[in-house]
Amino acid sequence: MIGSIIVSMFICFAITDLFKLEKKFKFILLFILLVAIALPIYRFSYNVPEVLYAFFDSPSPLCVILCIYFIVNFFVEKAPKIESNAFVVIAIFGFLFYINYMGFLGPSIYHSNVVIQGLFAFIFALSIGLVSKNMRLLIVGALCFSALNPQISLIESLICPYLWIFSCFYCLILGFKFISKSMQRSKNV
Amino acid sequence: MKFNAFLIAILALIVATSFKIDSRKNHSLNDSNFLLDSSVEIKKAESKMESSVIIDNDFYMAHASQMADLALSGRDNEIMLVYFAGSREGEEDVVISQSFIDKTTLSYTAPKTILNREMLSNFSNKFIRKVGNPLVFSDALGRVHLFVVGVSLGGWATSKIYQFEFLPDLEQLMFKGELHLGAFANLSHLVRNPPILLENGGFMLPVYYELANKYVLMAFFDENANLRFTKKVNELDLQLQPSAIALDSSSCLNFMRVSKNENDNIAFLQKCLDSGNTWEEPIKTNIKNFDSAGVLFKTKNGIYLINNDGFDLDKKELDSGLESLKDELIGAGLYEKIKNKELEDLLNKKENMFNFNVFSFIKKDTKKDTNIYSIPNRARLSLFKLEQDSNFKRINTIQIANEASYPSVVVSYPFVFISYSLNKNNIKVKRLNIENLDSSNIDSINGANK
Repeated sequence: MIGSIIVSMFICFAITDLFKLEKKFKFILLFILLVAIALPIYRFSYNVPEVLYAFFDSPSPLCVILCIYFIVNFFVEKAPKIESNAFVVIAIFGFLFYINYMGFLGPSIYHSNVVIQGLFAFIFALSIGLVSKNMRLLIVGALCFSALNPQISLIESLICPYLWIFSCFYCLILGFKFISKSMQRSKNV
Repeated sequence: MKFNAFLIAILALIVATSFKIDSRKNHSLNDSNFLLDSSVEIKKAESKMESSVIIDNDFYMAHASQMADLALSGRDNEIMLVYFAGSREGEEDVVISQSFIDKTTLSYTAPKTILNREMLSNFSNKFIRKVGNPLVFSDALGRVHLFVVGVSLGGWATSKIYQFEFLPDLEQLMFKGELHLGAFANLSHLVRNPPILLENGGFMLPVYYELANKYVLMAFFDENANLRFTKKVNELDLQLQPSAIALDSSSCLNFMRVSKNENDNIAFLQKCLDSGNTWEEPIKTNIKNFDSAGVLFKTKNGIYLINNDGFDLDKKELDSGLESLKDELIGAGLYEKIKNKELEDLLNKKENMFNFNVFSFIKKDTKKDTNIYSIPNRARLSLFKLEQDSNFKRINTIQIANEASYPSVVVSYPFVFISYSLNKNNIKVKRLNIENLDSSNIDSINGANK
């Protein structure tokens, strides 16, 4: 549940960040959004974090850590940004993992023994660490969660539907940006 | 963070976590034997008569019943029946109802609501839109467990399984938690049939994943009824509602419902060895399953299956079936018409004129021979006996109705108790004598139909 609250707060911060407003107005907007997510949805006795938790379960530790990182970044202007490639890797690995989990691709990694799960988690973590220097510490933090709480499997400490869907959207936006830049360049030439 | 430090850190954490998880799951191996026959002979079995009872239902719909023999819980002569009831499947007013049935007299207590969506919401701290598929059973230590599926978002394919344990009065529930079975938001896990009990008090619960490819899982629980690990037992697609029984202390048999029209509706059987640690490749049976729940059970006379056999009934079979239903048909004023071969004319007219519950299901199959009548898949519930490795012989009809589905079985010598949904309006419980199960006299079974 705490994870869902943090993800909901991240959504508020991300929405606020989309608007190029004065600092004062930004904080007013942020405050309004934070209050809004805490209130029950119209004719529904649950608020946004509760609905997220009911529908999509708890987010992964890596997702929660990333959300906290983004929230901290909102206040600290010169904090290092997460490299875009990290989200590309998460989107690709997440796609492979969930397709496999749903029974479309080979024997299930999720329902296999800890060695195979550990191997997948290692390759996944290593791949993110290779393309994103700033993600390394966050990954170690997420794996610490799994080490402290064995109820959270190794793979589930690194990936969850929230993070995967976010990464997919992020990749989509990156793709659009790349295409529009390429088109502009070709126009200029 | 330097790459070398990162590499060492993740390697150390993954190895340490793997060891920790592995020690908790005990190498993902089941180390307890299957509990063999847990049934207790009914002491007051004065009557060896086959009998049946329809449970009074205050709601329009009643479905997916399950029974638990309470002999292991010290109530030798009672069966607990649970099912879901409401105005319609998936509606907000659906509740889980409970009734106790006396094995000797088949008298039952008035159904009582033990769970609804609001109660499940309160227990789980989650928004629950609908509840269904209750499963109840006693374990080797006499505790009675209840599992239900609850949906927060979308349809049944996004269900989650919630675990309860009955308090000693067997009326109040203690919430144990939500089963965490999957990686994708823990969505789409359902339960239908009872587990194989383990000698140590644990159990192996057959569950299934219903989103996308639909596959079968076995969930292993320890002596404290805590989930240890899950095992995907085969790579077959579109298999649901596994029903598993223990053959001996270390091997088991698993039958699965076929979703949609996969593999020409041919049902599979799968054998497990080494107390569920090893699973053989599934083998095709001669049974066709048309997307309906089936259940396996074992008596001292053999292994049986209850399955809805959608089938093409020829004129001879229809006539023989009609004779067995003579009394009901006379009562409905249909018998003479049918005997005078007016049935075909009637069938050629509006189908919806057949409101009578026995005949509304008979539809003429215009694509086939004129003498062939097609029966919807869930109109006949039949009993099969396993003869060879994967060959079942159909031995009896348990019920013919608009819908007779979702069977559940309790074996308590000298009887076998079968509960099922009758037209999805009621739950019917039928008591059959184990010694007569192999009788192929369809009349005797339909006699028990009344």
